[in-house]
Amino acid sequence: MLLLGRYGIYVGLVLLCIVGTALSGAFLTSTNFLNIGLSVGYVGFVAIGMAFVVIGGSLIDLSIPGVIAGAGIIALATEPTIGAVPAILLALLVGALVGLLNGAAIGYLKANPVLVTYAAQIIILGIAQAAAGAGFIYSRGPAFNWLGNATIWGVPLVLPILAICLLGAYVALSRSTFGRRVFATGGGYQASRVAGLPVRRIVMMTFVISGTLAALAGVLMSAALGSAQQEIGIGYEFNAITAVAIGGTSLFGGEGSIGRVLAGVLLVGVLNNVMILAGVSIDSQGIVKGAIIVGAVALDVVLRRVRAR
Amino acid sequence: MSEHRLASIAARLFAARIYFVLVLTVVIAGILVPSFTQALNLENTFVQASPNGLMALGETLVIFTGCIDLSVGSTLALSGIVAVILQGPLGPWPAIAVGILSGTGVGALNGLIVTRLGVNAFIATLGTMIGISGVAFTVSGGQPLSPPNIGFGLPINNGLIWWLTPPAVAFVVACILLHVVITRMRVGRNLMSVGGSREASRRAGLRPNAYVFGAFVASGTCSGIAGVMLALGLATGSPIIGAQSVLPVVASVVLGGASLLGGSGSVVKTMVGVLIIGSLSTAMNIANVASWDQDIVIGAVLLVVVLGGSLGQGVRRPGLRLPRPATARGTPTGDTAGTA
Repeated sequence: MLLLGRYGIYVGLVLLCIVGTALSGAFLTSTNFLNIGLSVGYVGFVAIGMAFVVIGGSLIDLSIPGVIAGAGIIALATEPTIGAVPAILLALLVGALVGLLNGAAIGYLKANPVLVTYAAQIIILGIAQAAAGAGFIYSRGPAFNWLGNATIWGVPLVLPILAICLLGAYVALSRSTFGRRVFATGGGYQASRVAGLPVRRIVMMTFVISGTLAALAGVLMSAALGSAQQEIGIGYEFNAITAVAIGGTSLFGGEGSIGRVLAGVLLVGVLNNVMILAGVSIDSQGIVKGAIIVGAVALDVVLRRVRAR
Repeated sequence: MSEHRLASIAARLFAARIYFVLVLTVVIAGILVPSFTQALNLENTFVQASPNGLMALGETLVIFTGCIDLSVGSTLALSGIVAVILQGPLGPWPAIAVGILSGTGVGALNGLIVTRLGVNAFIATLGTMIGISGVAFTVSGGQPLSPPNIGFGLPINNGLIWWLTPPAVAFVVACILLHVVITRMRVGRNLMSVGGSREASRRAGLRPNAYVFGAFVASGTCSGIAGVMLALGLATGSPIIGAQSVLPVVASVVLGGASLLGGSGSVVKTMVGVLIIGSLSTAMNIANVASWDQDIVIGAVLLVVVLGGSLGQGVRRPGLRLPRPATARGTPTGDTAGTA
């Protein structure tokens, strides 16, 4: 019971895989697992950044749909003039800058994160659409075409990049002073401040990480699609927070881990995949998904209660 | 006048700043878009803001208790679809009643998940947001549906009292009712104290869960009313109709000054928050401002009000510090870095 409480999310993931295997011979194939990985890969980047924001105690970063679209549009639009690498760096820089502004308002001015990042989202989406019009920005150079289609040993490039980000985030969160400070700030803001931690800067940094990773997701997504437009990032903020929460990271801040975030992301991906294999109609998939979100977290609460006794 | 007097007047003016923002919004909009201040357009602003306003009022009660309800948009869609489907078999009035009650049911479901299962409200209602939307898609077959009689044969788009259409009347009545309940009645004060400190209110002999449950039921009912009214007005029950409404609704509540920590805020100020956003979009619609430029303006106004608020309060107050609830509510413990 004790182990189940701590590792419930991983057990749930394995159970879901067993269900999938039983349902269809197509489940346990490398092609299918690549499909699952690709379907949740972009959410993975965003969820890592969101985890930093949540663990640092700021609840949510709603600016993500704006950053994803903005970064994609900037990268594809500037690539013909400044070249692929500068275009990508520019897009990431803009993502980091949005995070910096969000974080400065939230960390230093103590503004409400929900409102600030929501305002950021609609402002950036507005600018993105004003700049790109209602249509698409198409990728023109060969570099983005390569980035969107390249594979390493048959694995699309986006997945190794995600793995590197996961590893980096794991080190930053669980093996570094910065990570311990993020946990401390989210777990007890006043106590951390009194203890002399630069709490305001730490809160700001969590948003910079979130903005940069969302921009990376936007660049990779647009490269794979071959185009970018205002709507490519819509819904990613809620998908990311769902993955973070299902993984068992407390939305009150101060706890969680990158392993749990990865498990949450995979759980959502495998769940969608299993529902398709099981022939659940698209209209009804939401019912199952909603029930699983509530059920998973309720189970987590019960198991933690048992463990606390 | 003593320095103390001045400071207290300044503090009062600051506390009432949202009213000045509304007046300023209307005045500036009136200068830039002269026809905005014509009576008809001001009336339209109010009428068009009513569905979101109703949802925001219910959301305000939930936020007063320190929780949040993300499922308002899905509930709006479901209740509209239910009413439209049932108009044929049941007739208009029973269909309207069942539609609204389906919203109440979603609210009760949210309340049970939060109070009985101990699931954090954000996650619980994120789950029901997705789940109820799934129900709305399944029930409607993924298609927008039309009722047999447009507006159920009722004069839904005509003035019921003066120029106030039925949704606008519902918005005003709900606002007055909830304001009186919150400020003048014991149950309202208790609700606020539950939001202020769940532990303290428990020790004072209240049952916090009952108030949290009640707030979710009220929110579901408000979304139900809004959904049915909107479906009647548009003569359509659509599964996608509320998909983008949760963030604007929460934004107008917080714009009105309610703290997401619970325990503070005002129903009337939420209404003002709704009207600020409503005036902005009506004025810009009249002036044919492109939708993306509208987004930029509304976002900028949100930012100015929020940042102005936090600058004015001084930098001493911490930002969004969600209180860590007692372990009895199933707060996760331990299990931090390195367990994975």
